Amino acid sequence: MSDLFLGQSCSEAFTFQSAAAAHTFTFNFQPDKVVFNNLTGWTSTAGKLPISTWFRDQTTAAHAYQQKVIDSAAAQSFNFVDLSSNGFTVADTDGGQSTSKCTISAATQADPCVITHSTFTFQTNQIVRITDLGSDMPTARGMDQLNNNRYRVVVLSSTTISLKDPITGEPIDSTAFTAYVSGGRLTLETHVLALNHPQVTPYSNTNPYDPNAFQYDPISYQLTAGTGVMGTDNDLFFIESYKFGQITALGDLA
Amino acid sequence: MTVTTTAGYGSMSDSWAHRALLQRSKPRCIHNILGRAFSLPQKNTDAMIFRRQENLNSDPVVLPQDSDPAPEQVLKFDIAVTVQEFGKVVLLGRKVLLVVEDDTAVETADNLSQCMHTMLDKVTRDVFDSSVASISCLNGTNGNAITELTQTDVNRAIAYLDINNTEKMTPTIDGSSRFGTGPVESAFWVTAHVALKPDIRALDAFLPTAQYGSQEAVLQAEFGATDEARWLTSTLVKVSSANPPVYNNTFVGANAFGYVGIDDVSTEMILKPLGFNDYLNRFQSMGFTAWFAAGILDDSHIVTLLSTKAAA
Repeated sequence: MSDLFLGQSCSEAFTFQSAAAAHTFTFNFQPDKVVFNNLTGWTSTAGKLPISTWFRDQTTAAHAYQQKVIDSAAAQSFNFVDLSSNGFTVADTDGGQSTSKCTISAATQADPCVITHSTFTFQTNQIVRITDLGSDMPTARGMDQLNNNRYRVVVLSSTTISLKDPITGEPIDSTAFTAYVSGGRLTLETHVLALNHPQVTPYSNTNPYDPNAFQYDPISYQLTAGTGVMGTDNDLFFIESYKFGQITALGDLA
Repeated sequence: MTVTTTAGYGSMSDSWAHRALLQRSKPRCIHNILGRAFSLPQKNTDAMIFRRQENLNSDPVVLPQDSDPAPEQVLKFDIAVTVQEFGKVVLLGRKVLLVVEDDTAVETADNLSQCMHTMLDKVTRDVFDSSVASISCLNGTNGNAITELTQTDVNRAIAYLDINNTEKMTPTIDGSSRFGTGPVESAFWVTAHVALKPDIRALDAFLPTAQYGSQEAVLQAEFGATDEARWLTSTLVKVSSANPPVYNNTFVGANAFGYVGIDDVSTEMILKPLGFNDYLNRFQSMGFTAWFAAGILDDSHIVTLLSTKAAA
């Protein structure tokens, strides 16, 4: 019955060549069961792990089992081993709107003014707004001259930017500004780059800027397979992923 | 996705079943009512670009007799918004429709409508939370790094909007001759969490809606006014999961944000009769799709004041 309805039960498969390192896989639905078949390990060689299986909502994310070849002589003798480490980790993302903010931890009195902030990926020439500085609060936070203003940024590192005037592009000389004390926030302004950023031409293969359109990220269903699953370099894998139409809990049948 | 069957939604026939379903709790959707509505035409694109010119430099220029001033380049901001499809579906089994006493399908349609409005309000709420410049309440006395609301901090938020030449959202409400009422200033809107009502009421300038000179312009979710701010409260307003929780109080001026749909198919309630996708006409689907996106049009005209709750 359930298969009459699109989306109720789903299955999909992937193939890949392992790099031996842990890898995060993204699925097109929330899987209930995922089976990693190591086709290269599908031999009678003792110690190989041809099948690793993960079930959703296990007690721990790493809890999964593997089939292990234990007897090469018999060629068909397998055992089950529990993946207690380097196994599977659920890596789903919540979706929603990506944040455009970070906090300030330092601001120099220099030309140009350099801001140290919590880790955030800015692009050079983006416009930011600085807030929550100044002296109209019980403990002055300093840098009154920057407060509530917009600036064009030059990215120096993942935690530092220098400031320019958003219109003229002149570096901000904060030598004579009030010394920074604490606090402050940086907000990426309306997701635009500098005023009059380069236009995309019809003949251009590359976009000269990332427009950062307002967009709501969907929930993603991801599973990180650890090194205990990924085998050795160049192992060939076939992944089976299933979402069941219905899982009925039958309870204790005793 | 799970079919609604009598296993989970069964008959009430072992009791005398009241045919009318009880009222559901309905959160107040207060975010989208403050934005500007835009619509993309069909058969085009899913992205809309808004453009805003930067003000020209207005420093006085005295013209010499023998030459023209240097031309100034017109500068602009481009803001990109991409619409996306949101939606939800419910499947009703035939047995539910045949044996359950209440008007399940009608109530489910109403439930879906409420769900859609709430979902789209949450999208805009999340845009506020992620993209609006914020300042912290610092003048309170509850001992947290971000304190409870104080009139001084509310005034800082108002000052942010004023310094950016933000236009008010509402006109003045005139005073009247009724005892205990007074006029309300032309104001910005504020979206606040219902949990902060005692803190808002404690603000120096608070005037409850009952004391407005006129009730005609009062919104259903409106709690009161403080000088140049009129406060809307809802459970949908963002609150952090931190300990103590931090509440977003977003001050909105005119032209601050907008939302985009696609023509007349922006939102669609889709009800398919029994047999929509099965051989024996045993299942009915009901759902909605909504093409929607929200974006901040001008950061200068919107600011979030972060606060915690006052000490009990």
